[in-house]
This record gives sequence, C-alpha cells and structure tokens, in this order.
Amino acid sequence: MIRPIKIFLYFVLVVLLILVIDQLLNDFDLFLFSKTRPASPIVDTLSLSLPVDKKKIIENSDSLLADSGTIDDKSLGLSLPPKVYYIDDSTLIAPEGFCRLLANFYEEAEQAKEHKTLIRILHIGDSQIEADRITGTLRKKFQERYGGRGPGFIIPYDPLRINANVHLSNKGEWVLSYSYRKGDSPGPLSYGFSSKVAWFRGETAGFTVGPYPWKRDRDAQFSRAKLFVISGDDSLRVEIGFNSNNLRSESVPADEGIQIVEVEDIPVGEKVSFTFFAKNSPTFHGLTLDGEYGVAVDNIAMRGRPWPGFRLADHKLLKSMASELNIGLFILQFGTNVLPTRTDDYRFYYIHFVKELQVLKTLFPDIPVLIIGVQSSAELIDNKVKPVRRARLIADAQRSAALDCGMGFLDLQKAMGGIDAAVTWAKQEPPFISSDYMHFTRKGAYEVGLKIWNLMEALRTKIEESN
Amino acid sequence: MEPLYEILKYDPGEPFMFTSYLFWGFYGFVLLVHSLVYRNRFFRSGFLFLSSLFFYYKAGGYYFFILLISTLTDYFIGLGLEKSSKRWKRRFLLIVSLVVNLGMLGYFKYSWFAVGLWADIFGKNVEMKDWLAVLANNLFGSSFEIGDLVLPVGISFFTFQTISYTIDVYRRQLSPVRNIVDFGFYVSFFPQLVAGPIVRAREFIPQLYRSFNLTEKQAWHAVFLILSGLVKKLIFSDYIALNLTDRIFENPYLYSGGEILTAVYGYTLQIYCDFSGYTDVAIGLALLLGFRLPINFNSPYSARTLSDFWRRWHISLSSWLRDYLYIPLGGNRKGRWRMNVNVMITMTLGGLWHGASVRFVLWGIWHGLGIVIDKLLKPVTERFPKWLMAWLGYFMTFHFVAIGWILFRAADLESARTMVVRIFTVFRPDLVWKAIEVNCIAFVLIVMGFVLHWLPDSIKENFRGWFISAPWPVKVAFTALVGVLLLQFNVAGGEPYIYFRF
Repeated sequence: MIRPIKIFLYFVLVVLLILVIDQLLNDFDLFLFSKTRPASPIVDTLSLSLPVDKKKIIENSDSLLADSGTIDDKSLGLSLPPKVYYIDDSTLIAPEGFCRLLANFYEEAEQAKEHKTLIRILHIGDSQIEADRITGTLRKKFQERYGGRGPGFIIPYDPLRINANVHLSNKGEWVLSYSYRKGDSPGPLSYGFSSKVAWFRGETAGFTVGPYPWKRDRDAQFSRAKLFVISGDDSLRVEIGFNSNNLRSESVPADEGIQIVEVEDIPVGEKVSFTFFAKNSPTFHGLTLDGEYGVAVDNIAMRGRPWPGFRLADHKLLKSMASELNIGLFILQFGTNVLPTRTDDYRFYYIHFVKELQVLKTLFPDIPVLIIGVQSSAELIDNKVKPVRRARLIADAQRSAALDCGMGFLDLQKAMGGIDAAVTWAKQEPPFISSDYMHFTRKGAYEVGLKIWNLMEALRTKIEESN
Repeated sequence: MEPLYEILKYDPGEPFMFTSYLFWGFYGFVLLVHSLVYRNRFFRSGFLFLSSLFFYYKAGGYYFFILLISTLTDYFIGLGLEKSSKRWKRRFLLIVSLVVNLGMLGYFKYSWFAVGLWADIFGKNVEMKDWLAVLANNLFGSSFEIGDLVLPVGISFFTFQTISYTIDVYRRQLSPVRNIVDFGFYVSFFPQLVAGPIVRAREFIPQLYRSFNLTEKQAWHAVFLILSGLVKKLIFSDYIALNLTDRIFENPYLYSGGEILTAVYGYTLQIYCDFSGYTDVAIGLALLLGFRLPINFNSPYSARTLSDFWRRWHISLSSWLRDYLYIPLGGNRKGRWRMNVNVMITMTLGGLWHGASVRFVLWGIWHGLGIVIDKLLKPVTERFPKWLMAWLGYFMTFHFVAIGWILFRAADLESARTMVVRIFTVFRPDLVWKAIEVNCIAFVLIVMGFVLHWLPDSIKENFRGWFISAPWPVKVAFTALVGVLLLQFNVAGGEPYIYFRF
C-alpha cells in the first residue's frame, strides 16, 4: 500500500519540476505554440498588403493605453464642420449637411407608401455583415415603419450561398469576377456597387431565385425583380418564367451601358427563373428583389475588404445604377479586416478610406452617407482575453474620414459599451461576439442592428425637432 | 488576510475547475490534510465533505445551498423510508424527494424554457424573474440579479444522484446512510460533483466504511488517468474548439460546407475529449484519495450500433436512465411496440436532461429514432455477412452520432439547418485545403485524436502498463514533462467543460 503522504510528496515534486522547466522555457523564450489565438480565420479572406511601415508595428499593445489613443484631426489637416449634431454622448456624430440630406431621405421614405415609390438604403460592408447580419435587423425596422418587402439587392450567382433570404440555383457555367481580385474574365469588366460581376461561359445559362421554403417573413417575399445587365457587343435573349412556366421572352439589344430586365407582379412565394441566350456572355451587376413601395435595404458584403472599392468601380455605371435604384442612403461598415494590422499610426487607412468616400461625395452629393465605425474587438494574449486597443485608432481614422467628407459617423465601439465591450459581449450567454472576438454572432448582430436603428431614430427625432 | 480572502472567495470570472492553477493548489492542500487524517474515518469523511462544499462554493457560488437542500432532503427521507412500513407513507416520501429534486432542477433549468415555449405558442409574454433572488433580496437585503436565472453547476448530476439513492432505499435495495456527514460526502464528493460520473450510493457508500487502501501501481494508474484526461481536455478539446469548431458553429454562414463538415468531425472529437477527459481526471483524483468511481466512457466511437454507442457513452447517465426510467416504464417486457415507445420516451427525456432547448429534445429524438430503426432493421441486417455489417454499422453509427452533434452544438435551430444545407449545397473542397493550410495544428490534432481513439486497446494498455511499471524517477519526469506540455498548450486559460452547463 502507498501512504497518502507519499502521494502528496510526489505531487509536490511534480509541481516543482513543472514550474522549474516552465520557467527555463520562458527564460529562453521557448514556446511550443503561440500564446495568441490566430486572427481572422475565415478562408477566402483576401490577403491584403496594407502599407504599414514596419517600424510602426506595435511591440507592446498595452503601450497604447498610455497614449491618448486618438488620431488628432488637426494633424490630418482636418477641421470639424460648422454645425454638428451629437447623439447619445457623441456615439452618433451628424454634420449639418448630412442631417439635411438625411431629412430628405426620411421625408421620401414617409411618402413612399402614399406615392407608391421605392427608396433604397445600400448597406455596404465587410464580412461583419455577411449573410444579412445587421442589415436584416435594419431592414425589418425600416420596413415595419415605412413599408417594403423583399431582400433587396443580390448578385445572381452566389457560389458560397451567403444569401440568407432567398435561394439561388444556377444552370450553366457561371463565374464571379471581383474588382479587387485577379481572376478569369470574358474581357475588360466594369464594376458597380458590389465590386462583383457575374457572367457565364458558353452560349446559354440561367438561374432561378425564390424564397427559402422555411422563410416566410417579409425579407424573403418579393413581388418585383429588376436585373441589371450589360449585354456588351452582342444582343441577349432572356426567357422569364414563374415556377418553371415560361412567362415571356425578351430581347436586350447590344449596348455597353447598363440595361434593366424587369419582372413585376410576381406572386408572393413564387420562384422566378431567367434563362439567357447570347453568343458572348453579358455581365450581370445585380438583381433587386423588392415589394412595390417602401424602403428596400440592401446587404452588400465584401469579405476581406478594408474599404468599399468605389475607386475601382466604373463611375458612369455607378451613376446609372444609382438613378435606377433610387438610393436614399448609404451605410458603410468596414474595419474588421484592418484589425489584424498592428500599428500605432492608421493614417494610411484614413487616406484610403477618405479617397473612397470622396468618390461617393463627388458622384452622389445629394445622398447622405453614414459610416459605422469598426466594432470593439478582443484577442487572446498570454491566456487572457484582452481588448484590441488599436480598434480605437481605426475607428478614429474612420471618424476623421467621415467628418472630413461631411458624412455621419456612428461609433460602434461606444454603442457597444466602450473599447472593452468585446470582452463583455463574448461572455454573454449566448455570446454576442464569436470566438474570434471580431465577428458578431447572429444574436450580437441583431443587437448591433437594434443599436444602429435606435441611434438613427434618435437623430431623426432631433432633426425633426430642430426643424 | 485580504489577498487570502480574495483567493478563497467565489469569482465568477475565474472558473474553479481541473484546468485552473488554483484548483491544483486546492487539491495539493486536500492531499496534505488527507495524509494526516486518513486513518480516522470521521475526520477523513468530515474533511473531504467540507473540502467538497468549499469546491462547490468556488465553482458555483452561493448555489451550494441547493446542494445542501438536496442533501438534507434525501438524507431525512432515506431515514424515514427505513422507519416506515406502510406503503402509502413510503410512496409519499418518495414523491416528496422527487418533487424537491426535480422541482429544483425544473425551476433552475427548465422554467425559462417553459415560459418561452408558452409565449411562443400562445403569443403572450410572461414576465420572468428569478423569484428565489427576489425572495433573498427582500429577506436579506442582498442585491442578487433578478432578471436572469443562472443554472447552478452540476445540479443535473447531484439531483440525479440523490434521486437514485432515495429510489434504491425505497426499493429496499440499499440501507439508508445514518451519518449525515457520510451522506453529505457521498452527494458532494468534489471530483465528480459538477459533471459526473453519476455515482450510485450502493457503489460509493460502502467505500466510506473501508479504510484507505491503494497500491503504488494503482496510484500511478490514477496519475495516468489524470494526465490523459488533461491532455484530452487541454490539448485536443480546447485547441480544436478555439481554433476551429467554435467559430464555425457560431457563424456557419461564413464557411463552406467542407469547412463545416470538418467542424462537425472536430466537434465529434472535441466533445468526447472534453467530457471523457473530465471523467478521467475525476476518477484519477478520487482514486488518489482512495475512492473508486465507475467508468463513464468506453471508446464510444468504436460502437457498431447506436445501442452499443449508448453502452459506451456517458455510461453512468445511460444506465441511470435505463434503471430509473426505461425499466419502470416497462422496458422490453410489454411487447415490441411498447418497447419502442419506451425507448423514444427515455431518449427524448435524456436529450432534455442535457439542456432546456428544443435542440436537445430533437437530439434525443434523433438518437431514439436511430435506436428504434436499428432494432426494426435487425432481422434484415442479420442476413448480411457479419464483416460487412460490422464495418457498415461502425461507419453508419459514427456518422449518425456526428450529425446529431450538429443539433447538440449549434447556436440555434436555424444555425443547425444552415450547417446541414451548406454541407450539401456549398461543399467547396478547395476551401477545405485552404482551411487546413491556415489551421494545420487543429486538423493534425483531429486526425491524431481519432487515430488514438481507434487504436486497439492492447496498444493503449501496453503504454499504460509501461508507465505504471517504470521506475519512479521516470514516472515523475514523464508527469512533469506532460505538465509542461499542457501549460504550453493552455492558450485559452482553460475553456469551461461542456458538461458544466448541464
């Protein structure tokens, strides 16, 4: 028999040995595995080479705590607009010009039901909004208030099945080209708001789109479809049908500009099919699936992108699409893909971001643009979940860019509860933030959508009161 | 004194479990005091009882009073059952025990689920509060959170343990424990308190009256179990969870079907390593204190039928459900049809035991249907060659169980459906290779974990035999090296055990 004291002595001996060996390994900086959890694990994320000076790489992220932690607007050559509305302790900052344009949007939205018009909100973002996250909540709220239905804008080829509301099935050999990624293309391509273009190989192809059988809510139901297509140097024949029955055939003449193929009075819940016949593939720039009137809220997600990519788009195409879409408001939500870039100077990001915004401002001076700042996030350092302090610097760069262009800025970090909020959100049951401490879970995305809606509502009230 | 008080008090942010440094400090203290008092049965039981209460306080806070209520109720009911000879009195006492234990379990685990279900069905919102917290705040002026109901850790385990004790006494299969300390020790013994195995009184109580008796080889066998349990938990389970499965299960729509399938296989290994790892450590810790706990896992993914799987997975729960639910319902004694109904009832309630959610109910139904179909097809499958059915059965059972884990782990039913749909519609094998490149270690661990799981028992036994027969300096050095490896892998500071939630 072994005596219990001997067990205890063995225990002490083993513990001492472990401590000594671990200390030795630490002294010699020998680690078998990184003590930091790998960031951004989603495959297909584009490897961005953000221009960061290596000397600026942060050695110790905690050093940021000692700094002011903000980008000085003056150092960026910026000045605040003359009159600014602040909502909820400056969680939402709205320059006067932005508020004026936003008031026009709300007015048009209010009248949409009466005038039977449709006005759109383009919610453009990175993987944070993929699968209709955040946008879905905004759409629900806007459509409850102003009317409207349908999932809005989609690309008619969705190989990753990201679309959460409608089911797409494609016939033929379809290809997706991106403005920001090298890949196959049938020739020089023009890009619109989504930075994506769908096309097909061969002389015929098609797709069918319809609500998922289990989706019976407003998001999945639509009665009107508009296909945005450039036929190119060859005419295009389109056959349109409902639930496999051919409805009509239409010819789209050869043209380098955007053309619309429209289908109206689609019975709710029915599938619509498009079949195309052309010698050279046309390029498809989007499909809108909406109701007859109200507000449409589009989810345009660009996985891996730090900014929207308007500079790479065809500006003429953007203008013609915008006039057809009747865009009333842009909401841009980026920054997640900048979080892994460790630096204490995000001026490079400001410069890129502001250039993107300037494109919008130049092309669409009458459409308000709201920038949603990057979310609070966290990372695992030495076995502890710690907030990513540099997220504040990224949000500050975004805020500076937004205000410099006279656009609204919603500080999501503040709305979440501060720079440390990701740690708290990760501890919620069920968690609001995914275990990569960057992406929101469905529940978290819903909360964020509500926060954005509530802040926008507070601003709307303030604008109405001041008028 | 202040720093000591800070260490000793309950801290919800620092889970007190086998993977925390503080726990091993506590266990070292328990070993030291145990070595001083082990000869005196009263002091030994008393000390281990108090240690277990402290453990529960550190792990679950003030909820240890629930443990005390359950202990006192069944202790006195056990004595009452012994004294009562009238049937109605005995039955009444049994019902009181069931009402108290299942009432506590129902209140903490299922009341919000039931209220939510009611609201969904009838479209009426019912205001829900933690009425116990409201009562405590009114009586004692405390400031407990009333808007949320926290599930006390281990409540599903210790309530089942005390119920089994009372039923055994009621059935006269067991004499009641007369000493409250002994009974309290049985209910609260800390190695298995929060996540099992569910220990039967008739297996454990007699050990209280035997003196400490452990050979050197048995002690090193216990160390081997502890090491293998921690390796399963910290190296396999936590690493795979943090680097692969959690993020895919949380946001499945961001991943291709191929990646989702890898996460399903990953979770299949993760949950086994997590739960069986906990059990291995619990059995090892108990053995070093001289107590034998029953095994809870026996290579479950080597099962060739679903019934076989449940004879190998969470054995203490499946045998509990068999003895206290399936057999009392009639078992297989009332014809084939009733047997199948009994299987479905048992598996559905077994699913519900795991959590208050429709997902767990469906998971139970999934397994119940699997067992019933397996039994119905038996006359057909018996006609095929045995070797073919063995391999087919092994493959089918493994995948049936793996698909079931989607329901078990997914955040909600919509996520589960998204996962299944994406596996069949967006498989994209090219992205699987990219995912493997990005996250190589997690995939290596998954493959290694399954290879180790399916290794013949003889190889595993030989390794265990080598360890416990080696000279003690080799064993100490080996244990220390594994300990260092565990520290290196402990990147997350220890994820909570999955079964702590049940």
